[in-house]
Amino acid sequence: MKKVFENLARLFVFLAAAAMAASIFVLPSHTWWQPALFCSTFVVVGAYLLLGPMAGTIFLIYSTVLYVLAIFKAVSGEAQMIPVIAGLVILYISFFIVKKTADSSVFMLSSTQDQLKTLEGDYAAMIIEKKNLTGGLESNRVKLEKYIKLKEIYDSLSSEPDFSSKMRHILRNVIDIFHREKSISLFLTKSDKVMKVMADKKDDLLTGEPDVESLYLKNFDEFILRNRKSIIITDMDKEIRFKSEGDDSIRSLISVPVFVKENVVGILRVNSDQPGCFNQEDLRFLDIISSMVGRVLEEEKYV
Amino acid sequence: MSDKKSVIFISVLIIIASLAMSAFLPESAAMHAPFQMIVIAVILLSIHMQMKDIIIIVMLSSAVMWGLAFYEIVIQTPQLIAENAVIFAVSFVLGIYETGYRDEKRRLTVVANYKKKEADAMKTEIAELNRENHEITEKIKEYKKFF
Repeated sequence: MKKVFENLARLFVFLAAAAMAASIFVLPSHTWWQPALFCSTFVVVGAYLLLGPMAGTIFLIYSTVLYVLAIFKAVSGEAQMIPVIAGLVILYISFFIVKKTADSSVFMLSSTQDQLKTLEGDYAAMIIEKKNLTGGLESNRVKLEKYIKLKEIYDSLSSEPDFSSKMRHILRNVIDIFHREKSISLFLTKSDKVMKVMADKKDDLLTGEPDVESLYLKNFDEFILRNRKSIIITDMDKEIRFKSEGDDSIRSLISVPVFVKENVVGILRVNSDQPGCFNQEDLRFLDIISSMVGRVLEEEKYV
Repeated sequence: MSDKKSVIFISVLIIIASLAMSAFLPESAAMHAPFQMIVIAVILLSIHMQMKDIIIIVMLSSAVMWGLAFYEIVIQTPQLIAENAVIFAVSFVLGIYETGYRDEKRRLTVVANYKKKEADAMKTEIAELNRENHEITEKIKEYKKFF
């Protein structure tokens, strides 16, 4: 209904504009000119508000032309000058008041829309923040769970009777924390001899290696012993620092040195047959495990 | 005096002046120019008043004008009818515009309020997540210290 009225009003604006011009030329009596020209107020106001500022300005120019024509007629004595001038003044005052009102309305609406856009932007940023926080929180929960398990492993160490069973206990439970298709190995070096303790998902534990070949330190293990630095290898096939030595069972690994006081007494390595299994967080966690192993070794007077 | 009161005061002054001038100025010289001034008052009033109130004011003013016509102070009544029609038409157009503007503003305000509430709820959720995250981080720090 409102739309119908609006469209009718728009139609009347055009009709009134046409009728106004026709009246000036057709109506015989000059007493009708003033009401005819007064229509221009409706035409200009209606055009400005219903058709837009541009249409309002065009109709203002159009009305001004008609008023100028009326002024010429008034000069020639066909009409009264004062009412025509007064009508023109009323038209311009009306136009400027309507313009100011409409401008302020548009400003109010656009500022509300801006506020809305700002709110939408803030909300979108908050959604991203929430997503990041949720991700971070989930990761922290997993991390905390690992630390809790690690603490449990450490606390339960006291119930293990000897050095060997303590090492077995640590490795068996630590590989459970990583809980993927991986294996963990602890190489302990003493007097240039290597002892290997290993655990994986399938075989619970090996406490020693009868096969001398398996005690052979790979080049990345030697690198760690020599440089006392941790390493992370995401894909052995793309690795340029170390050779794979034809061993396909290792595709990715993290490895850290084990310290007792200032001395490197071994290395702790977790490897997987899948590439890209480890990240920096895993490496940091393994570092903590290595310090725990170091502490046990120190307590057991391994060195 | 507030802006609204000033506008209404000026509009009332214009209407009174318009009717007084229509009564006292000779119609042959000024025609109905004083009465046409009412359209300015109508536009000013439309800033703060609703269309129905403005129509009532216009009807009262027209009644005074028609009273003058009744006493033959104003004799060009056919022209007066046309001028009345123009003033009513202007009031009608202003009313349509104001209604559209108020509807749009109300709609935007409702949406903005909804968005604000939504944002507040999200802020609360984020604060809760931050708090939980902080607690977990503190616990992790304790474990790190231990190891």
